[in-house]
Amino acid sequence: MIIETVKTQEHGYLINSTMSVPNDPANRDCAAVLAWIAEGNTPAPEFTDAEIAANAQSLVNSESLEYLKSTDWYITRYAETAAAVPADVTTARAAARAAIV
Amino acid sequence: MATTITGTTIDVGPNKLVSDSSGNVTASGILSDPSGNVRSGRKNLIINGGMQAWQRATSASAIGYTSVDRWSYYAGSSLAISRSTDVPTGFQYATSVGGGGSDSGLTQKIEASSCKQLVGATITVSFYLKQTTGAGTDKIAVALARANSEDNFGGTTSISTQTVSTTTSYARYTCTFTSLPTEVSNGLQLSIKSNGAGSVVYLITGIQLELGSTATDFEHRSYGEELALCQRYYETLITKENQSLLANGFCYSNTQVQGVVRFSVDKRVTPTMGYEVGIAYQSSGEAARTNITPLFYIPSTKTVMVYASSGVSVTAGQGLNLVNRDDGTGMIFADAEL
Repeated sequence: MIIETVKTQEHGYLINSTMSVPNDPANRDCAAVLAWIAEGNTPAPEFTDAEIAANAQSLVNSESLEYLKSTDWYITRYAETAAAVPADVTTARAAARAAIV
Repeated sequence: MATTITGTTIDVGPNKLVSDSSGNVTASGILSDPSGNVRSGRKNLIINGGMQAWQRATSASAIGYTSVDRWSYYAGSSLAISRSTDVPTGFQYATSVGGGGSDSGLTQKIEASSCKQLVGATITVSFYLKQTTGAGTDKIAVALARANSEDNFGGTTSISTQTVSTTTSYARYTCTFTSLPTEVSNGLQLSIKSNGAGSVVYLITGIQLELGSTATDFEHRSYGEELALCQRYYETLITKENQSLLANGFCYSNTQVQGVVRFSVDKRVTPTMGYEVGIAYQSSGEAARTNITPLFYIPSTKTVMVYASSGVSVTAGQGLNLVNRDDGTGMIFADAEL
């Protein structure tokens, strides 16, 4: 294995973006990573700042969509019966829509 | 001078050899074979010596564990290794090894737990080889080395090297090594490789390493047995087929899918997990698959959790299948090779 990139992971290392190596020196790839580190190389963090931000936004998007789905029935009820949508729901739905990127 | 003994019973002290009318011979007492030339059970310490298992690929042009199971390939240049059906009688496949420069060949590392019996022993290596390019006197080397520490082949020490003279037709070659050192219990490495400069191409199969000073018949094992032996070191979890199913799983959260896979065979050590291209998930009620880049949590030699949290938008708690992609290009493997 030729080591091109190394990222730390919670339980080991991510090598060349496609291989997860456990933190077990008996594993020959782990031994190679430890030797690579001993040569003075430093693994990168698992996620860059941009990836952390993207993951956080992905979670916000998912939770917002879930909230909109769960309150769609208020809108349907309003359309069919003219029963008002509670104000707090209207406010929260607007916030959820705005949060989705 | 041959001696013919007539009759049906030979008295040898308190024990007897008895022959019946059908030609069967029965011995009372224990038969022994001090020269070790008659063996039974598992005699071949080499795995996939018959080149039956090819989980990674049936051809490759890179060094390392790139093709035939359990064999590491090396060549200085003009790299080419592939599966061949040009075989000696009784075999299905051979490995075609091509390369430039010295030492083009195959290496297998035998783990320490299988080598305890080798301390001080005499072993015999045998194989069938046909050299189509570069054949001649002493053109192939058979080299033994041992690991400097248990199951760690990052550092090795040579034990002995012998050479054989080859031809362009298949022949069976044997090399006997005596008095293996105590440190062979750390693990043994067998290399069969070109000896000297120049391009070589040779076909090889039926590689056997056994105790004793005589090469006995090659131990043919069934494909299922051989594959299981190989899977201790490397296993393909999904194959490159679009219907290949990896695992049942569930949506851990709205942005994470995961499933647990039990390896077919316990691995030698906690394995490296890797993939080519990626995989997909198909959650309950969804007709289409969503492609994902897998991540792995590898807690032991027995199981792996495959998960993804990038580009995932699902409903927490739903069930799903982790599958290959629609185009069948994905692949996942577990690697615990020496």
